Amino acid sequence: MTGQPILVTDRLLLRPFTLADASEVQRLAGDYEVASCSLEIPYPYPDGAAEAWIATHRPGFENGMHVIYAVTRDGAVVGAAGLVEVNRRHGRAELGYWVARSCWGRGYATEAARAVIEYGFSVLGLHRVYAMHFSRNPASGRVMEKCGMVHEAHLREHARKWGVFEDVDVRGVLHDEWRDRCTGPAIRECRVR
Amino acid sequence: MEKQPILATGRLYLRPFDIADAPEVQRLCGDYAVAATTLLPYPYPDGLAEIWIASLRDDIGHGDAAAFAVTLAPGGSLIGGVRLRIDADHARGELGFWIARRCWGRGYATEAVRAVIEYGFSVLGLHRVHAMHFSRNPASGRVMEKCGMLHEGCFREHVRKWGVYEDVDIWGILREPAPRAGTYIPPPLRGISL
Repeated sequence: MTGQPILVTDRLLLRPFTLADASEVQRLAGDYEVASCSLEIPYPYPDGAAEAWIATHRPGFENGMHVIYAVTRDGAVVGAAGLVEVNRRHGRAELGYWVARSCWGRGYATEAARAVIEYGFSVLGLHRVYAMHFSRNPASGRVMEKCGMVHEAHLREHARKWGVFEDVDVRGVLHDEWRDRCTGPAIRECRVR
Repeated sequence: MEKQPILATGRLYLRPFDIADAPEVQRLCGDYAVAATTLLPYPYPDGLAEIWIASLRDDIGHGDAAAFAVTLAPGGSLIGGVRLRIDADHARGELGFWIARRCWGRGYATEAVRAVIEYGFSVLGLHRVHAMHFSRNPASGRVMEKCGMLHEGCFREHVRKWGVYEDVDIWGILREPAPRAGTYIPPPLRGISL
């Protein structure tokens, strides 16, 4: 099978992570503000966890479980975006992303998320992409809305984060809606390496 | 691992599934009307019930599930099943249930599900129980509502059932719901025995 392609957008280049990115991942995702907005990121970010996470990417891509990208701007990692929980039987996947705090407010999350959603629909042939965010973090909901995702559910105290039960919002977009609403190209260039 | 107890309600006994239930599970879940409201295959293949019951035992052993066969009396005939899929990290359980078609419309699902929710909260220590049903099957939503669950949303075309993408509603209940004034809710469990 072919490897994970590089996705180029207006300002960003999405490429697979390599082990060389581990220390940068630990530094950026280890930021308290970034970790607190994500269900999975631990705090403090333990040594070795970034290497372990990156090591799952390629096998997970090869067996169709997930597609995870390093989001880069001018060669520097500014975040991560990907599709996880890829479910072929139901034609769906869950979108996830984080952006380094120093890069917040520039629309990078939206730009990277749109590229990944486009990949899910065009390349993986998915029918539906959904995403979840903590209700206390409405900025993430706005990213999803800008990607054309519709609010579908508010799950009360669904996730335990650092010992606290937190409300979670769910948004989703269907393939035909994406085609109808997509104004500009979400991916400028898709390079198969 | 903790042995799963028997739950007694007003009219029902909920006991662990046994491999001897397999033919009856196949017969009852093999009913088109039951299969259409769940993720079960149709026709129900030979051998699947045995595999399912064995996998339940493993999941229960690992703390990943709780599952009960719904019967009308001790030693009585099987009329359904209720299962919790447990996510210990988030102290939550996802509920699934089915009732044999000849027993629909008598409140058995509500009675059994209330007992399992109570078991999830008071014995398993869960914080939240949620459940999903096909939006085209509102009867299942009414069971959830009668169990005190609140409607939390609708996942559009979330599940592909027999080639068709279907909407799914999600309901949830937290361990300590605000009591509704003026309503008497009888205790869901009459007894628990090992």
